[in-house]
Amino acid sequence: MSEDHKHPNYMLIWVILLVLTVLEVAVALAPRYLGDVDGIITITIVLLVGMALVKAGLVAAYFMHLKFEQRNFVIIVSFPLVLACVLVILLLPDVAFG
Amino acid sequence: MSEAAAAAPPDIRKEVLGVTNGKMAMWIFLGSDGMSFMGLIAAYIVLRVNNLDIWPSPGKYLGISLTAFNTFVLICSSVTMVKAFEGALANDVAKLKKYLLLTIMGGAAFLGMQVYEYTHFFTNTHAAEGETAFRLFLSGIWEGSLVNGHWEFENGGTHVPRSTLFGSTFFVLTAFHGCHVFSGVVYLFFTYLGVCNGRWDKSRIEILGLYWHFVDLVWIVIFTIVYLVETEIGTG
Repeated sequence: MSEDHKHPNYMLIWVILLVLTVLEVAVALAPRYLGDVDGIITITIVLLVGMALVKAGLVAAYFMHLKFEQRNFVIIVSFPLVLACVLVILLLPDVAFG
Repeated sequence: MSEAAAAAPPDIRKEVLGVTNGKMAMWIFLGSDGMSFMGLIAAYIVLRVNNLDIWPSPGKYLGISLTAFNTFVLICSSVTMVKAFEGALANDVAKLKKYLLLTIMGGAAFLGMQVYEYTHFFTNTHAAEGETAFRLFLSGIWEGSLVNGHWEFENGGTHVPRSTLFGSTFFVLTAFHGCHVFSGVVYLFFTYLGVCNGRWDKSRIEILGLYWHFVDLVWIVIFTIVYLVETEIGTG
């Protein structure tokens, strides 16, 4: 199992990451040029956070080889991510009533 | 205990869940380090959402294009790191050394640009006569203008009201990450020295790679929420 993951296409991942970075900057600048369109701030935030998560996922899956590890190992090392989400969710009341 | 350990097959003592103990240890460290970052990021989100009305537009004060280029450099250094690991797997020392060196250069370039960025914020004097310019500190944004070839900054400038949170969250998040990049460059440098002296193995290169990619991954998140996300429609 450790032998069959020697050559993921790193260059393809690299190109995808760069394209996503360019798209992110374009989306971030969009409100300046499109002006006050309804809900544009929400749309850009969702798009930006979504693209950042895709990029982070690609780095973890391919560069950090998580895609090629045993499932139990992936579950264990992904757990801090769950805790991190819990941390943010627990702070939401502070946002709502702050 | 020593009897039981001696009786256990050696591979079980060295590997758990298909990874070496060293790799497991690095993942556990990355998990706790990720929680440190998440604490700061969660605090950033709460502080910013609670102060949307006074939060300055990042696009107006931060250098998006320079930082986008910096992100590009860090992503490239991640790719050179996986190439170095490929070299290590193939026992190709020349390839390993070449790509490790490129990774070190990428990390150093990132740090250099961050130092340039900070210096620029501390001493910003790029403006024409009569125009306003700003400086960014932990204490927030200070604006001043050029009058008769003389910077009003000399007298401190004018503090942009309630911009302190913007300054402190910006510097805490980016500097905490910068410290990680610095540690990574030192880690890479000593690993490179080890490779030059013939003291290295594939497992150590992989563990080094995990740390380096993690630093890249965190930067992707920080770049997005600190530099790119706009919570008001900017004009600048």
